[in-house]
Amino acid sequence: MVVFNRSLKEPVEEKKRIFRKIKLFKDKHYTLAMAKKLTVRHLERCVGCLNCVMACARERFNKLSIDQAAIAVKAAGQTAYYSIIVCRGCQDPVCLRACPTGALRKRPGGGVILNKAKCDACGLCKDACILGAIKLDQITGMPIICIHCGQCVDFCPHGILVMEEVED
Amino acid sequence: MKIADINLTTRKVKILEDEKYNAFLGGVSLATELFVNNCKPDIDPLGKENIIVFAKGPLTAAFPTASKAVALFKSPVSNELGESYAGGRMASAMRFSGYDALLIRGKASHPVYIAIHDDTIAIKNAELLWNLRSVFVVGRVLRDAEPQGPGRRSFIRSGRAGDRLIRYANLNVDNYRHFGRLGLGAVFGSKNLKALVIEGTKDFKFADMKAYKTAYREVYNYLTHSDVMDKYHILGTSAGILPINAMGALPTRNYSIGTFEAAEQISGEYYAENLLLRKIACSQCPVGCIHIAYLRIPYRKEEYDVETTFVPYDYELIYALGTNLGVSDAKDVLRLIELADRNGVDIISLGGILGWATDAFANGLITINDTLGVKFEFGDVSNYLTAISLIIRRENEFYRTLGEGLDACVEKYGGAEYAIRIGGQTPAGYMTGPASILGHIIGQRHSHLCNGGYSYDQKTFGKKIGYKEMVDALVTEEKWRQILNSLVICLFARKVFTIDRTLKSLSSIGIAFTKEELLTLANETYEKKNAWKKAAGQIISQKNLAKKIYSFKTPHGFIKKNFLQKAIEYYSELSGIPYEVG
Repeated sequence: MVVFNRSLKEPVEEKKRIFRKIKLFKDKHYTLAMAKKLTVRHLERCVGCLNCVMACARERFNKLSIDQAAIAVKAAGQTAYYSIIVCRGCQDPVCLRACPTGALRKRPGGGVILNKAKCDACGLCKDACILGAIKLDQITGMPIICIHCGQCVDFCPHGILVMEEVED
Repeated sequence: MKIADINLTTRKVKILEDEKYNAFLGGVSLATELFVNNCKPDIDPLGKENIIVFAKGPLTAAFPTASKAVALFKSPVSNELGESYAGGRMASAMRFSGYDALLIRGKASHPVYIAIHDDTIAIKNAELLWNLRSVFVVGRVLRDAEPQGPGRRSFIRSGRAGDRLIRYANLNVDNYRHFGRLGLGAVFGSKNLKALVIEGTKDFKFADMKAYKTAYREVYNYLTHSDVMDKYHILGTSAGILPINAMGALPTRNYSIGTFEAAEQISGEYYAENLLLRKIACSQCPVGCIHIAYLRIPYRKEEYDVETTFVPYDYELIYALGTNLGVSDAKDVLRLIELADRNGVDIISLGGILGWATDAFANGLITINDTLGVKFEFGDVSNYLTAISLIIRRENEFYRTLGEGLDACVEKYGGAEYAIRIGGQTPAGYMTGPASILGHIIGQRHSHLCNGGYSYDQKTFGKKIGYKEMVDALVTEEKWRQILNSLVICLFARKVFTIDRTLKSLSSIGIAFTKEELLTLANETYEKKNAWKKAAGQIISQKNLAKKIYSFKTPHGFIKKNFLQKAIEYYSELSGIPYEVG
């Protein structure tokens, strides 16, 4: 299946993975994808089980890890609810603006896509994201950034995470 | 397997990396192998020769509900094998710091804590944490002192009860889970050890990630889409209060009767509807069974000041400090739980001891001079609160004795007929019938979770079971649980990890075990523990069972001394542990 990106108007084979969860609309001229992004809808319901974190590491990075994941859950002491730290999918991403080498490009629907070939591992994107949603890989120093693939959504037992449709 | 051998006396840390331990799978099997080879059976549990082994399992963090860690030690409560389990983030933190087991031996010259961050294991000064008024404060201080890794680190610490060697002191794990029973907190105290901080950043890759993902999904889906975990997820274990009360098996007023007239007011339903603050989960567990209530206590009422605390509750806690003490107000039960929890004592044991004190006080074995003015009376919460504080303070001879456990109380003041104890500690509060009591007696750690006798009773209502059949069933179950406890899954998920699913899960992450090998390992682990217990001088007996147990009308009728004796003798024959006529 070839998915067309409306803004580029060209087939983007390599993006199939990203678009796996995207709902398709039929149009007589072209197939258009309504982009989605990951959203934390019910933060206050989090029980801190970390299954989203494990899912990201497992399904996307093929690892059993807590650090090698683009989503993190942190306890905020006994009195407050958990923090779920993940890319919020900016339309005009501050991390992208901070990248001096052009390694980040806009992702349809929000957020960024990393081109590792251009990344100098300077960490400026990490510093720019005050949400703390960008981590640096301990070995390569390159950013670990959410691609909004939605794998974590399936493993949240409380429906806290959702894939939200975004108008371009 | 990677094992850290930490000696508190010499402050030396040895790292053992040895493939020979792979044959022990992990969890209780691995811990048993390490424990029996390093701890002499005849030592003083509160002496420096005692050792503590913590272990995680092969599935830890890789599969949902494989969230528990096991601890083996010599118990200052039973004076035999101590085996205890806790959830929270500990096992997961062990996995990601790269250790399969931790062995702690010796005694530090002054209070210390152990901080593990990946390959770094540091023994640090903990004098400022000693005798702090609350385990929660200890946790808070440690969070700032060891700031690495929020979300994946674990803080395991004792409370004041442990520092002061109250024999049934527990260990608090990440605020709401505990190594509750058999006095691990006191063993920490005896070693001048206050806490253990574990955090790590390691990651793992399995040979066949596809097989792993498939196996993971199967377990996850079964957990979240079937009703098998409903009991734990919805109301939590306190869902048991009403049904167990209805069957007449809920120990009330120190085991005088099996129904509590105010059960509705302290039921799981009542808590969930009125006082539940939120539920939280152990690491990697989608169930989220930890139920936390908020307790709001106004003070200086004219100024509308309040203190609010967060109190975990479970069936056993509500029984121990609620029904068993005749406390009928849900908030009052929370106040008792909160005070005990903050100081780090095992709540089931504490409930049994306060129950004994109440009966002993009513029968004149102890006087108001002993109790320093506390009038023990069922239902009287303010007196119980004062008594708990005095036990923690080890205020006088009487309260010091209460802190030594039921055996010491009976020895000093008498009242064996009111002391509800099996293996030195009060059982978990399921007076469902003979299998529950027998299960506690023959269980290796005298816990209801050794062999699930209470569950066997409930499955056999209306049937007459012979003693051999009962012992065989309990032993078979206990042996099978050696496997579950080697995986160190949460026993709430025991129905999820069938033999097939266990084998499939293990093989998906490259651990090759056959069914026969697993069963052999279970058997060996069980036997090894029994041999150690025998060497430690365990005698299996109903000698210490209080008269009240025999006059308690369970759903299976009265528990008969004869029946228990025959079962004990049969079990003694099977296990080689000597028995005594009681």
